[in-house]
Amino acid sequence: MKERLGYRVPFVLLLILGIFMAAQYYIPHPMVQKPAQMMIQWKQPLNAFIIFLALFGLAAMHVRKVIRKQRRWGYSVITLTSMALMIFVGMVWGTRHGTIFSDLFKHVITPIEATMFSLLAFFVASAAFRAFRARTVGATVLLLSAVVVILGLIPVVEDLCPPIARASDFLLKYPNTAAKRAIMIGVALGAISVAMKTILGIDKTILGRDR
Amino acid sequence: MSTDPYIWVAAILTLGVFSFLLRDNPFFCAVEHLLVGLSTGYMFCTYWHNVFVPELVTPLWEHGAGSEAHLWAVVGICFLWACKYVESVKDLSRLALAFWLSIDLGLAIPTEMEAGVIAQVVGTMGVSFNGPVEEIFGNVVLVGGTLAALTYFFFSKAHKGVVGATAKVGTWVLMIGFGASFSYILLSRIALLIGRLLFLLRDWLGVIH
Amino acid sequence: MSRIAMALTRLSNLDRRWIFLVILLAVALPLLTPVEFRASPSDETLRFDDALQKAIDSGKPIMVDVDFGPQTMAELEPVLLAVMHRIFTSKTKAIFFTLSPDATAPTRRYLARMEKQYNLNYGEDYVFLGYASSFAYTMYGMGTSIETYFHSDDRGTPIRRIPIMANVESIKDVSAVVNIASNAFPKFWIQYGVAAFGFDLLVGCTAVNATDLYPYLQTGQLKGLLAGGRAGAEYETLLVEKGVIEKTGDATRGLAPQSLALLSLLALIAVGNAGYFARKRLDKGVGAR
Repeated sequence: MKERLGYRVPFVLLLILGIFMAAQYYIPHPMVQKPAQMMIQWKQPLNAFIIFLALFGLAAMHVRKVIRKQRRWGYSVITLTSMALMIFVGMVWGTRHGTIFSDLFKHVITPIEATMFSLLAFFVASAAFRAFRARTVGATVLLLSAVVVILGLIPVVEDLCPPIARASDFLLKYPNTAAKRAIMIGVALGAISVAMKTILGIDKTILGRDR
Repeated sequence: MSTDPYIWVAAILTLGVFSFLLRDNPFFCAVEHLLVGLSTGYMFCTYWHNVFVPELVTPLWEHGAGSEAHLWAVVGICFLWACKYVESVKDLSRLALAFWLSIDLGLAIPTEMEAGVIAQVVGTMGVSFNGPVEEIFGNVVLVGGTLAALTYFFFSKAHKGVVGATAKVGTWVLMIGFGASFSYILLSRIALLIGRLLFLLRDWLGVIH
Repeated sequence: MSRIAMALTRLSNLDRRWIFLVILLAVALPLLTPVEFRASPSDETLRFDDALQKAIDSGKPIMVDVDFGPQTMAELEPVLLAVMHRIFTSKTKAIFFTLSPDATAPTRRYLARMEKQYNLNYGEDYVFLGYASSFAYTMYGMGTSIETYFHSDDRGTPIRRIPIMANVESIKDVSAVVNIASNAFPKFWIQYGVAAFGFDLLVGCTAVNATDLYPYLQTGQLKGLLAGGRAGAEYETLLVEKGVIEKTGDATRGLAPQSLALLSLLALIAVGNAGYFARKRLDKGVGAR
């Protein structure tokens, strides 16, 4: 019974619903569309519930850390306090524009998050300086393409040397499109085959079974 | 210089994050943990006010016995999902996972095929070889480059002879694509840094306008 | 000769904090000077504006999906604001929503600013539907019914009671969808929206994602593309030329620091490569001896 409910039923459900969801794309009849739309609609609140579980897990982890006085537990106090503060102001005064919630987002979350991402400018520069070398023919092609496109992005270069801007535009429009298209087709075919293998039960690992 | 306390808070936090450039330090760690906490709280409230209540609680409360009765199924799936945390019934959570995956995977098959494969093949085959020389040459590069790059990803045949040479050209096409991506990544990251410096120099210090 | 090679080798092993300083100065110095560059609108930017004009001319509401948070705000905020000015100066009705949770608060702020500037009536000239999760499925589902995914707007009003939504049942009833987004949202719009329902999609995205979207532009799945802050600057210039806005904004302001930073990066890459070849040469010399 446990085996059936734990493993077989989920696979049967996956097979039936998976085929149904793929087929409904081509069948506009309301008898098919109505249940399909309903199931898609369910994903939204379900998604919220899963996020709640994840947030609860994160909070529980930090609480454990504080109770057990693990290494760097002081930082967990900061996390828990700020989490509680944000939830409190969001639930009591709401989340609309002009509330404390929106002020905290604008003046605390925004600068931290934006600055964290802006650090990447420094790290990408450092990485380019150290690793961007014309070691092989392929690497040289990559380097040259990057240099041409970078130059094309600078307005002064565009004005002083229009051929570079045109070359940059050409690289983006044609070889770049070809490269990205080939990757896209490969990824799409890969995704389709993974989806089919999972739906048909050929690949069982995704539901936590290795045979 | 700004007299707005909020701007000062934002500026101090900005400098706290920038301090990581010198080395990892307690101030940066504190700011980092503050972000985790506030973001988690933000996510909770956003999901609560914008998704959970209007899309599940309110419809069930108002029309739970009528037009929206089907949403009780979501409550059931949520229970199944929560079974994950109870050792004796944790296998039941696989049912919820199977439901979740079936929609994801089932819908991915036709949409990937249509947007990622068919439309791309049609786009490549449908190019025009009329018009200015640059465009004709570009389209030749586009068709040839796509085929060459696809050959590189084709592993069912050994990359020798004509196939090998085509695959080699394919790698160069891919390298041009990666070079273009790299330039745009640089552009993007610099734009983010400009945003922060504009904040510090204009909104906080007021040295520029 | 070998002294130069050794100097170059040493230079290519520079402490990374010096590189950080170079980038910081390259960005900060042009901001402190009154130098301002102009970016002339590219073909893509003109194409974007033409597609938006076509949507405006149709007389139907435009849908705007805002999907960026603080991480990419510096890059996409000017793009979104330019698009908002373009829509609201033409008195076109617009339906805003977001599929990214961290875009909810900023979108409320931008809309509050627009409401004040253009004296807009909420619910009649524009509406903010708020945030919907499960973005790919919401995109797909909105092709059949918007109400199913947004029972109410951001202020809690049932969407059936909102005047602007009176004739808008699904995404097929709007003239175009404009997606201003970081991450892969535009790709999902094409896969789950355009492929299934065939509406006009216009995208303003971060430069990071731009090169991946060129194939869609070529197939026509994408009607217009504004790629990052640079395209934002081009669009600002275009809107000033058209008289939509009086002066250019932060995207244009960023062109000078962007240019100097890119040139500095090119110089750093050149130094790095010179050091690499110099080292190779030195190693060869040692090997030959």
